[in-house]
Amino acid sequence: MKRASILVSFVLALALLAALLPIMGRVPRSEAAITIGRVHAGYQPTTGKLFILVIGNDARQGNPNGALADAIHLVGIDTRSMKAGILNFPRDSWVSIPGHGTNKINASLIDGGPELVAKTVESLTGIRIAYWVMTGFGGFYGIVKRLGGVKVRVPRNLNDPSGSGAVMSAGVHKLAPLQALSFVRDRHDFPNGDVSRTANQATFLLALLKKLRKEVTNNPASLLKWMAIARRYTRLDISLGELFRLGIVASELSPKDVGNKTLPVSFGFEGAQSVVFISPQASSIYASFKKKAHF
Amino acid sequence: MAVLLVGALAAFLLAHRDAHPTAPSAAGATFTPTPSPSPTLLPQAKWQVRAFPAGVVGHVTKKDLKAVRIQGVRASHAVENVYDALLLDPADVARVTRAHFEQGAAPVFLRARARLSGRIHHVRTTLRRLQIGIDAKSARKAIATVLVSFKAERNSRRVRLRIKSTLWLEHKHRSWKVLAWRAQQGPRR
Repeated sequence: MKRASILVSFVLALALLAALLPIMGRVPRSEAAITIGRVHAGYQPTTGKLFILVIGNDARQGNPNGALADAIHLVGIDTRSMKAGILNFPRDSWVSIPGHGTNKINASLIDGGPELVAKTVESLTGIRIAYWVMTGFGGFYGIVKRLGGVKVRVPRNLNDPSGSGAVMSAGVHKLAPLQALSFVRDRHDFPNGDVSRTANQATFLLALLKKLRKEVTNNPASLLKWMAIARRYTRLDISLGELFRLGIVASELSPKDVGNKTLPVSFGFEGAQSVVFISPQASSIYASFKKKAHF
Repeated sequence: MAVLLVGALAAFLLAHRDAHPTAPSAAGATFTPTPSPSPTLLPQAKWQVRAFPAGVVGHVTKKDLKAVRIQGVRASHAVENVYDALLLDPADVARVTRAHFEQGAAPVFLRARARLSGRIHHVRTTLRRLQIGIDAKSARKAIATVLVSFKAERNSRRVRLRIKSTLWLEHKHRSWKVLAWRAQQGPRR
């Protein structure tokens, strides 16, 4: 198990951390910094295994139609053992999108919103997803700002001033909102490009989770504060009771019990497009993740 | 402090009833009501209770604060009842749990045997402190932290123990219900 915190936890954690609790329909989805919804109406996990899809889109503000899903993470939580895993999907993964042929997985957000991204991941993995959480640049920035920065271990020197804006040395840094955004966006400094980036995003999620847990451990009632903040910035398509329960679970997860795994892929081309092909070995990862909800 | 008791946190999802009010209990366990014997007659520490508005962002109205005050008293009673049963009246734990825990969480809690060992008796509490944060806007969600210190006898030897716990509560169907619970028990410092 690797240590860290959320992007799924991000959305769980982001959404959770960032402050979850809301008045349904208060903020239009296109304008909300964070949106949370159910994938299937009425679906209730009964095995103690909970799966949440965390999506980061490339919209500068809100979550407008037409944004691409540049961060896709499936978070699994075994609510009995309180162990969890984050499975990272490279955005250029060449996959079948239900009802829309074959394309890069990030295009599924344009084709059918977060619900279609979730259904695409479900069809790929065979895992039934309960909730999705989505945020864009604005929501991500706001969350990190509210948190007063997030401490993250940067794996190598980053120097991408003209792309993501990431310029930082390797090591542990407390990242301000813009730095954090540049860290999770940077792909030019890594030989594997987006594949490494998606792992960094999960690392950042774990860092968020760690921060949430630390705060809630010191003061359990602070979870209600995060929920109140979320109430302001989040468009919730789930009930407050569900949000409260998700918050409880997120705050009780220990980062050391959260694994972080990126799908094995190979690089190639589809026509003129640079894409990645998910390795056949991924099937065993899906099966194990579906069974245990962690790695 | 060793973690001896792990709460019914895992029950939270299984126990969720908002979406399916008629869904059967996920745990499926059944319990026979137990008659309540007289609790111990030893003098016990008074409960020190502090209920406060939590999750305050922006303005809180007088109406909100009044709701927090009222619900704080009610939620505190639920928590006090649970702890009084756990520590002082073990025979009543099943009944109290069913009364104050959410439908799906109660069986999980009971199965976890989250109670004092049968070898521990003559419990005398020396500290009972409850702090409960009530969601300021809804007054329907609460998070309680409980600290209980007590003396007791185990195998004819005197022991001093302390239990520190967190409970997550929700106001449903006109009463407060425990959704999830976590506790640590260890020797009193």
